[in-house]
Amino acid sequence: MAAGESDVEWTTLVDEPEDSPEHSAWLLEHPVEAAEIAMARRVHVLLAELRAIPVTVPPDFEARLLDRCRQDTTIIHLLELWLARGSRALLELLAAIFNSLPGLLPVPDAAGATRS
Amino acid sequence: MLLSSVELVRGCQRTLPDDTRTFEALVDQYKERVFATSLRLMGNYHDAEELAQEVFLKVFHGIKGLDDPATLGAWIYRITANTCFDALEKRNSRRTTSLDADQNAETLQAEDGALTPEENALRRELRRCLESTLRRLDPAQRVMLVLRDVEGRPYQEIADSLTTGLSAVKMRIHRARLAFQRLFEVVCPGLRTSEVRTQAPGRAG
Repeated sequence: MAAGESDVEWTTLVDEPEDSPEHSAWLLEHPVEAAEIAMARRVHVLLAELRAIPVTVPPDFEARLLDRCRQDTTIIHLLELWLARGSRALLELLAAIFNSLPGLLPVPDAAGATRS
Repeated sequence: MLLSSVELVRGCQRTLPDDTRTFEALVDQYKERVFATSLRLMGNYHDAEELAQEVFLKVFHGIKGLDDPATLGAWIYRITANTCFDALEKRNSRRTTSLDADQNAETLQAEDGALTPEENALRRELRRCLESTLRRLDPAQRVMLVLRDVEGRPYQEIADSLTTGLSAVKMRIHRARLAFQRLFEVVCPGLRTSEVRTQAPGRAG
């Protein structure tokens, strides 16, 4: 049986142990699960110890972050500019190629003349 | 003055990327929690700062697409958890050096004046063991235990952050605790944990 599959919520027994007769009876009836819950409870309590370790954000964290944001923005602008110019140049090149080869393109007048 | 999620999101959507003042207020409000989670997951200040910066860069570029401002906090913590998880996975796949090379001695030195020198020494040893064991855990299990047991986040918030179902999260956390306990006995055999006055678990701020 795995956590959460029984009629008693295992995580509740681990995180918020209480002396309710219902829980005590269930634990007595299920010694294997009770041992597992006790083990999980011990880990839950032990790991809370790490919460007490003070955490200090580095003093120039925000300044460095904003520098990176500005760099990213500049790169994105340059990329957009390059793509815009690049795509325009590509379109001009394609137009030039097709214009130099008029025979490859369907000519509307000629098509109309064929139909009539 | 603290700004509401709506003010932060709408302000950033209106002014970024040219004007970063609202974004700076957002960073100021969330940086401690994001950095703390990154540090607890990554295990050292250098990686934690790199990851926390990456999280806020994603926020900077992605906030224009955030439709519901009320979900700002959950969204940022989801980015944090996922960014750290990806980094842990990458680190695991390329790791060749000793895991203890990451040991961040600085975080273990804090002493409690209410304890005797022997108790403080035991507490330092316990913290070293706990961090060492956490580092050896599978990244997915590590994320679960840090969010739930170290930071005291509610199960539902963890499920939302990792876009997983509530019952699946509960089951994974239970399995992660059992895996941690087995590993802890290998990493720190004979540690007298019963002699250390530990913190009472509860909801972290």
